[in-house]
This record gives sequence, structure tokens and C-alpha cells, in this order.
Amino acid sequence: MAIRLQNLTKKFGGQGAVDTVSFQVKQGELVGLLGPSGGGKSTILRMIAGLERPTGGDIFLNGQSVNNLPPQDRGVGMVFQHYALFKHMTVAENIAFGLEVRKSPKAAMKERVRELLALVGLEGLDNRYPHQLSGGQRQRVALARSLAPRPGILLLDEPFGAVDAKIRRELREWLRKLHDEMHMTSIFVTHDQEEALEVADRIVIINQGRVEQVGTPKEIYDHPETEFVANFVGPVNVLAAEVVEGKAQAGPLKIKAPGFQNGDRVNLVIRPGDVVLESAEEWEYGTGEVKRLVFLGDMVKADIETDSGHCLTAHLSRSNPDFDRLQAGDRVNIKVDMGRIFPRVLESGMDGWGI
Amino acid sequence: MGHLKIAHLSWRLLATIVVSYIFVLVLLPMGALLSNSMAGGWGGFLEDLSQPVARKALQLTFEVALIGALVNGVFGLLTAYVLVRFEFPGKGLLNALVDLPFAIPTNVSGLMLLAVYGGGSPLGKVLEGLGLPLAYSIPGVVVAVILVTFPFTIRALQPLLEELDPDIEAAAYILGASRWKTFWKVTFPSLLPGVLSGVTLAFSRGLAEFGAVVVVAGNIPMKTQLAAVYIYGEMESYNARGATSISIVLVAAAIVLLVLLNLVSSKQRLTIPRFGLLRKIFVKGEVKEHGNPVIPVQDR
Amino acid sequence: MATPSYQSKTAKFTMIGIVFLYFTVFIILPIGGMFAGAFAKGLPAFWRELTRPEAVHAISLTFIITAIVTVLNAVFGTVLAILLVRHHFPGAALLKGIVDLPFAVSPVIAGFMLILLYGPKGLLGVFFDAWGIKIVYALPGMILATLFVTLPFVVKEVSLVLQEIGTEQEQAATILGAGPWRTFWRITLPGIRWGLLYGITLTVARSLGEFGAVLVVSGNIINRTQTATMDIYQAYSDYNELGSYAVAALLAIISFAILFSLELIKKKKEAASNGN
Repeated sequence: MAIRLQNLTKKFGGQGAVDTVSFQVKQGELVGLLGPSGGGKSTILRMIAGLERPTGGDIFLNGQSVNNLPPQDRGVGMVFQHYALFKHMTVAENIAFGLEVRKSPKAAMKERVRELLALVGLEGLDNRYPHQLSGGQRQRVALARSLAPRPGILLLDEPFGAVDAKIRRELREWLRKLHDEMHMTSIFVTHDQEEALEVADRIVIINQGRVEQVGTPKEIYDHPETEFVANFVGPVNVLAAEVVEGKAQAGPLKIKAPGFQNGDRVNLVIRPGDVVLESAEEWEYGTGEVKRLVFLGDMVKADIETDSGHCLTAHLSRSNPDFDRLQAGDRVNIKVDMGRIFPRVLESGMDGWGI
Repeated sequence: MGHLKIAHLSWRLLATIVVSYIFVLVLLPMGALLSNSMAGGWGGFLEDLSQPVARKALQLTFEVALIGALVNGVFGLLTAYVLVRFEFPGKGLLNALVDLPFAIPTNVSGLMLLAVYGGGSPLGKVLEGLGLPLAYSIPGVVVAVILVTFPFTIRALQPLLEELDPDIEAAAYILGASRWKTFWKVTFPSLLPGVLSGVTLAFSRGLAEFGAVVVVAGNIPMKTQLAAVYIYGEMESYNARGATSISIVLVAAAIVLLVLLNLVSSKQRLTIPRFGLLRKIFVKGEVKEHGNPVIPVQDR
Repeated sequence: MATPSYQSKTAKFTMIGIVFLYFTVFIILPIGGMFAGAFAKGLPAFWRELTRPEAVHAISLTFIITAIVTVLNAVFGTVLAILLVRHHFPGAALLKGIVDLPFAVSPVIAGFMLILLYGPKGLLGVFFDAWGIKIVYALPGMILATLFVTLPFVVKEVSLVLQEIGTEQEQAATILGAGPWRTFWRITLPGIRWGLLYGITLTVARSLGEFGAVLVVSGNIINRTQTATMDIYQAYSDYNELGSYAVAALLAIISFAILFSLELIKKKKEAASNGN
């Protein structure tokens, strides 16, 4: 195990920020720490780097306990959201800093800087200063700088948070490709679920300082273990339902509800992509009506209201035969293939239900 | 439309009055100084400058102002760092106290120093026993100048430190640099403009000091007499020409420093310090996005 | 901001300790010593010294000068600031430089220049003398001296704020038909009020504490042309330590009050400029 966290806890003056977090990162894996802002992800990362001292728990890097090791000695590299480049140094000097500190011979340093500039695609910019570069370029310099001393582990704290949306997507892809070449054990922090799904080998979902779920992007998306995870990662429909005859029922929708009793109040959580719509030729065979259609390029978003009064959203992809045919006002038959059932907690935060 | 014209005219009138006011208030007296200095000609000027007492006063003034500026530079840097980066009880009090030398008349500053370190006080007696009396001594003069220039480097550096991204230091640590190395290679270079402007301001202020010094060290020619005190003495003895010549030297030096200061600050963005009274660094010239703040200088 | 966890505790405490020592030696002890000296013989003695006739005269003279200087600076400083920031004209840079000059001139020299100009043998002084008007060694000279040293404060502070708030609101007012005065009273003045107040407070602090320039220009005549600071000096020279500490303590208390109100004004100013 390259990185192992055990019951990691951090309190800031009595306020808990991280609460008994445990997970592991395999050698060569790219793990995403995903969660809402303020949830503790950056704190966890900074504890791994040695920038914060844990209040409780242990951190093991390559089997060695590092709780008492200062950041200088941990052999990690780190990339910050706002680049943290040394403004008074050139690009080359920035990248060489970690080598200079280790008193590398000059020739070796020059070679390594050149190598890294090529790796991040910034050849020729070695004598520029940070303020002369774009956001995307600055972040690539920051990455090159962190890789120069050959760390065993790479930590990235919302690395693309400060750049424009388009550049963010490009950098995302580029980072993934880089990882596929270098296979460096990496953790990156993000609050953007799309980013996590796209880049990470595995995702750790952190909410309010606790681990909600650990899994691959598919596992997290298809089998969320808590309502928070379901809601946070990807669009959802949440329908208040009751368990009747072993099935959670909300209007025309029924899903098997193993482990629940008849009469239990539950939330039925359905991905818009799992909603199956069939045009109802006859009025009475339909179970709902299309209220609104939004054309989104490769996808059509349909807002449906069932006859029972439930509202939900369905996504239709181009491959769907009804893609072109469906109109607002059509009667539809609604079926659901997959759904998750969670007990309904009345006080739980009901914000952001994606309907 | 008529009343608009009157409004514009009355504004122009006011503007003219004010500009004339400035001319009368500032340029006329300076013109008088200049013309008086020219009255004696170059010969007179050089003769005044070659007076041993005058030379000693100027020399002492520059030395003392330099020491004061450097001491305040070092300790001011430390103080600014501590006030910005650390939390501790009494921090707010210290921050407010920084501006005290601005708010207090200079001769009162001198008086306070004598009260604590002068011959009459218990501490003073200890100092005297150690051969370091405060009153009528050069160390006393240095202490007085340090006191009146106390705030300059601190207020110059606080905004820079506040603006500094702490992640930059974190990045250096992670790359393997020790705390010391990080400070010198990463933190300090960003602070350099603040250090330079603070030290220059303190030096300029120290050159002009009168009140505190005259109280602490009296007026002993060749021993503890600073330039401003010398000028005062020459005036009192009706040696207007001597007073004028040394005045010209001081004013010229101060103007040079003023220009230097503006050069340093216009090269770097100086932002408004976010704390303390009288927190503004005096800068002339084009105002950058956060504007140019002002440090008022208390009576010298 | 909180101490990063990787900062060693000993380094932190050492640094804080050194800073506290620095403050104690140069600020805390001297202030304490002065107050101790002022009240060394108790409150009645303190009061007795404060109410010496020459002290009372000096203190009131200081207040009068401060009041006049503050009003003049407030008005002229604001006009000047508007001129320098909102209008372009040849010589603007020169004017700006002239406004900066008082910072380059040691107060003793400032007083000296005034004597050269307005003294009995001065270039203008001979005229005033012929008309029997006393400038130097009298109140007018002292006011001129204080005006000189306090010139830059209001101008710089208001200039600052004027640049921060920008011209958009004033332009909107003009388009709506407001003339320059109305725009000033209804739009500009409210916009600059905290900066103006700040500059005024700085002016007051400086005027109260002025020593060198007024010492020279006034002739230091007891009960005629002595300000509070000069009375402090006088009392000390006359070996009346208690007297000098008493008036000094009074000025120090007023200074604290100014310090305090400046903190408040500054917070208001910050809030206002953040809103812009």
C-alpha cells in the first residue's frame, strides 16, 4: 500500500474537520477525493503532505508512519489550486528549486528541467516569469516543479479550480494521460464530480469530514451506498415513496425493496438515464405526460409529470428511437429499470435534489 | 443653462484660489530659503558646510538615521511577520501600539524615554552604572530616533505579508527547503520592496528629527547635536546664512529620498495596509489599483 | 491567520518574545514611565500643573490653531484632491510634487523658511511690518507653519478615495442633469467622507503634536505664543518635570483617543471601499 490512512482525525480548535477517515491508495493508482467544499478533503491532503498535524489517527506512506515527519522529508510532491509559483523566479528556476535544495549538480539540474519542460509541453518558456504565463501554463509549471525531485507520491489540491472551464477540461485529459504514462501514486482533491469520474481510478467521497463511499467511478455512480453519494455524483430523481408489498412505490414506479418493511417511508432515487419512456398510443395506457423537453445535443432532457403527481426527469440519448419523436405534451409510459432505495430521514438536508 | 455656467465658473474660481494658496504656502517659503542661500553665493555655502560643528552635525545625523532605519528594518520585519503570521494574546494591542510614535509629539517621545531610561529613574541609574547613560549621549540619540521611526517598516511590510500566499511557503517546504532557506529564497524576495520603502522612509524621517533628540540629548555641539538642532541653534544666533546652507543640504537629501521612494513603489504594487491607524505609506505618482496610502510624519 | 502546523513552537515563541521585548523597550515602558511621572505626586498635583496659567494658555492656543488648520485643510485639501484626480491640466504633476514637499522638509526648516519670508527683515515681511501686521512671532505665523506641515494629509487621503470610487457615479449624475456643485454635495462628498474624515483626523493629530516648526516661528514667548508642546518643553527646561509630564500625559490621552477613533474610521472606510 503506497498510502494508508487509519482513523485520521483533525479538529481545529474544537471544531471537527476530519473524522476518523480511513482509506488506502495502491501503488500507481490515481485516486480522487471528491466532496462538497469545506468537507475536509483539502485538510486530509494537507495532512498527508505534512502541512497539518493530525489530531488523531495515523498516516503511512509506503508502510512507514509519517505522522511526525516534516513535509520536507516525506517524499511527496504537491500541486496547489492557485499554483503557488515563486513569482520572482523564472519557470526554469521554479522547476529547479527542489533539485537546488538537494544540491544537485548543475548539469543534472539543467537536464532534468529540460526533460520536465518537454513533459509538460512548455519547451522554450524556461526564462519566462509566472506573471507572463496563462493559468493553464502556470499549473503545468507547478506540476513540473513538483515532479522534479522525483517524489513517490503526487498530491493535487483542486489543481484545476483556478483556470477557465475549457482549459480545465483540457488539463483534466492531459493529467490522465500523464498518469497513464508515469503511473505515479496520486491523490487529487476536487469538488467537481464530473472531473472525478473522468480522471480517477477510484474515488473516495468525503462529506463533513467522513468517508461516505470508496469505489470505482462506475461503482459509485451505479451503486451509491448513501443518499448523499447518489445525489452528489450525477443527476438524480428523488421521489418520496412508501413500501407496499415488498416494493417501494411512487406513482407508477415500483422497485423491489429488500430489507424494508411494508409501510416504511423511503426515498426512491432514480438516475434520469435509467428512466424508460414509451410513447403511449392510447391515452389510457400512459402513466404520465411530457411537460418540457430540452435539447442538449447528444441528449434530450424530458421533464415528466406522472398521473400520480410525481415529477421526474428522464434523459434520452440519440440511440433511443424516441429521441426525435418525443414532443412536449405527449403521453408516455414510464418504467424504471434501476433505482436505489434509502430510508427517508425527515430532517436530512433536502437541498439540491436533482429533479 | 445659465446657472450651470455660474456653477462651472465658481468652481474654477475656487480651484484658482486653492492653487494660489498652495503656491503661497509652499513655494514662497521655499523660494525664500533658496534665495537666501544664493545670497551668500557658492563661497558662503561651502564655507558654512566646512564648519566643523556643521559637518559633525550632518555626519552624526546621517549615521544615526541610518542606524535607526536599519534597526527598525530588522525588527520591523520580524514584528510584521509575527503580527501577520501568528496568533497570540496581546496581538491586537501590539498592532495598535505600532502607531503610537505617530500620534505623540516628538518632544513627548523624548520625554518618555527620559522618564524611563534617564538619570532620574531606577532603570536609568542601572544604565548609568553600566556606562550607558541615555541622556546627553549618542546612544540616547539613537534610541530616540528608533522610537520616532518605529512604525515605518512594520506598516510597509504588513500588507505585503498579508498578501503573500502561504501556499508558496508550503510549496517550498514540500520541495524540501528548510524554514530558513524558504524564508531567504522565497519569502524575503517578495518582501524586499516593502523593506526598501520602509527603511527609506525611516531614514528620511530620522534625518529630520528634532523634538525627541533635543529633549533627550540636549544641544551639545560636536557631541550629540543633530542637523535640525544645529539649524535651530544657528537661527537663534542670527546666523541665518549658516542655518540656510545646512537646511538646503537636508532638504535636498530628503527630496532625493522622496524620489527614490516613488521609484521603488511605482515599480511594485503597494496595496493599502489593512490595519492600524496611520497605516499608509506615503507614495507619490500614479495610483495603482488599490491606491497610494499615506504615512503622516509626526513633528520632527 | 493561524500558525501552520509545521512551524516549530520554539521558533514561534522566540520570535514573539523578541517582538514583545522590542515593544516593551521602545513603547510600553516609555509610555508607562511618562504616566508614572505625571501622576507621581497624585491627582491633585497633576491637575495643579495642568491648570498653570501658561499651560492653560498653551493648551488653548494649540486647540485654536488645530481648529483653524483642520478647517482650512479640509476645504482646500478636498478641492485640491478633486483637482488632481478628476481634472487634467498642464502642471498637474508639478502640483502633486509640491503637495508632497512638506514631507521632505524638516519642521525646524519649515519654521525657518517662514521667518526668512515673513520675518521683520524678510522678503514679504518688510511689507507686513510696514502695515503693522505681525506674522512671525504671532498666531498667523504659527498657523502658516502648521498648515505647511499638515498640507499633504487630507489631499492624499481624499485622492486615494476618489480614485477608488471612480467616476461612474459622478458621470451618472451629470447625465441626469446635475451641475458640478450638486454632484459634489450629493455624490462625491458622501463617497469620500470616510477618507476625508481619516485625513482630518491625521491633520488633527499632527497639529496637536507639532513642535519644531511652531517653536521656531513663534519665538516661544510664554503666555503669548507657546503651544502645548512648547509648554512641555518649557516646563522641562525649568526643571518642572511634573508640569511637563502632566501636559504630555494630557496630549498622550488625546492621542490615544485619536488612535482609537482612527481605528473605527478605518474600519468604516474599509467596509465602504469593499462595498465599492
